[in-house]
Amino acid sequence: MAPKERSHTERFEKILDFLGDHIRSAPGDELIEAAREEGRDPGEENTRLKDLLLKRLKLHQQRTLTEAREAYERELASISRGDFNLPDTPVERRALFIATLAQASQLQSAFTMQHRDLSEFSDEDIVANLKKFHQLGLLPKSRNRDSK
Amino acid sequence: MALEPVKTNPKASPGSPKPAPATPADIRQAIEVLTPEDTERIRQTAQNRIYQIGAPAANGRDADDLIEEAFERVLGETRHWYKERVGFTQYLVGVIWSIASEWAGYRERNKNLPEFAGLESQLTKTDNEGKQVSPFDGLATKDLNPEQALAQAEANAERERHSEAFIKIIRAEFADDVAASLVIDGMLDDLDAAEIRATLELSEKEFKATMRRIQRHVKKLMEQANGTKGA
Repeated sequence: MAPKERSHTERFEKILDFLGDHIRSAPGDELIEAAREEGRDPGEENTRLKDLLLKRLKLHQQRTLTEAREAYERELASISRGDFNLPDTPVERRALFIATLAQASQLQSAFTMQHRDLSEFSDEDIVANLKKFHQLGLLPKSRNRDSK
Repeated sequence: MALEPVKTNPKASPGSPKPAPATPADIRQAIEVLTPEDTERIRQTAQNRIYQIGAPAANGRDADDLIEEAFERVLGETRHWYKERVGFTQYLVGVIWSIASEWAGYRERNKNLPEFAGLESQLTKTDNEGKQVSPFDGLATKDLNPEQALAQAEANAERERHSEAFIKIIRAEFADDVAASLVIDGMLDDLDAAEIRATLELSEKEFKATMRRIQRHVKKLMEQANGTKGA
């Protein structure tokens, strides 16, 4: 069977692909020579292209940072919206706090090391920490089920 | 140093530790040490790919836009550079080829793309679920309606006419340059560089000089056709 005849577009693309492959694998000095023949300064191009890429990298990092900050703020907003019901009284909240710590023993040492005595925790501290525990799914199961 | 084409996302061989994608700090360092040879390879590749896909697929975008789009993909989550496996320049050049093919494919499938759209990555939005949505999503059509099919046929016919004219001009330019004419024949016969050199018994220096003449002429031709000067 005779091979399918190529279109002019395919033939032209073939030439450009060959030239592209040549650029990909040619020795560096050949590329430098080509740039100079075109009246370009490879040193200037080097500075320009590196600046362009570094600027893009910086923009990307700033964008990533902004996205992370926004996600953190969304998280905080979700916590402060009080997406779960705290016990009504300070005594009940303290009891829940201590029960949670007793259950999550890995947290206990960290809290007692920082504060020596859990009794030093104000109700405000306890509320803030209970909200964090809730976010982390550390509250006792029955309490998590109470949440919205 | 010459570069050999490699797969841009190599898989680890069994038993070897899983390679880690490069961090932004690695990428920064790689950019800072790029040599003029490296940046020329990146730039000339991007320019070649813009010529290859043609003006409609390039859609007003130039070599710098292609480089930036490729670099954005390297920074994003869709492509990873494994620095232990492949050099940065080699990797970026591979991504440039791939993105250019993608642009050509988009144009082929979507004749209604917005004209002179910016970089895809710049136009990408995040939907309500935090998922990235390309502005080109949903534009692809499997079945063209008669109007679209006609538009596609016209566009293909126009590209075919341009390509025919380009080849005629190239042939005419090298009518008296036997070596260049034969090298072009070799390209069209699917020979690689080594085979062409061997068949034509060209020294490395002769082949290099011939390739430069062809490169120069094709570049001039494409700039005239696009009414632009390469960036």
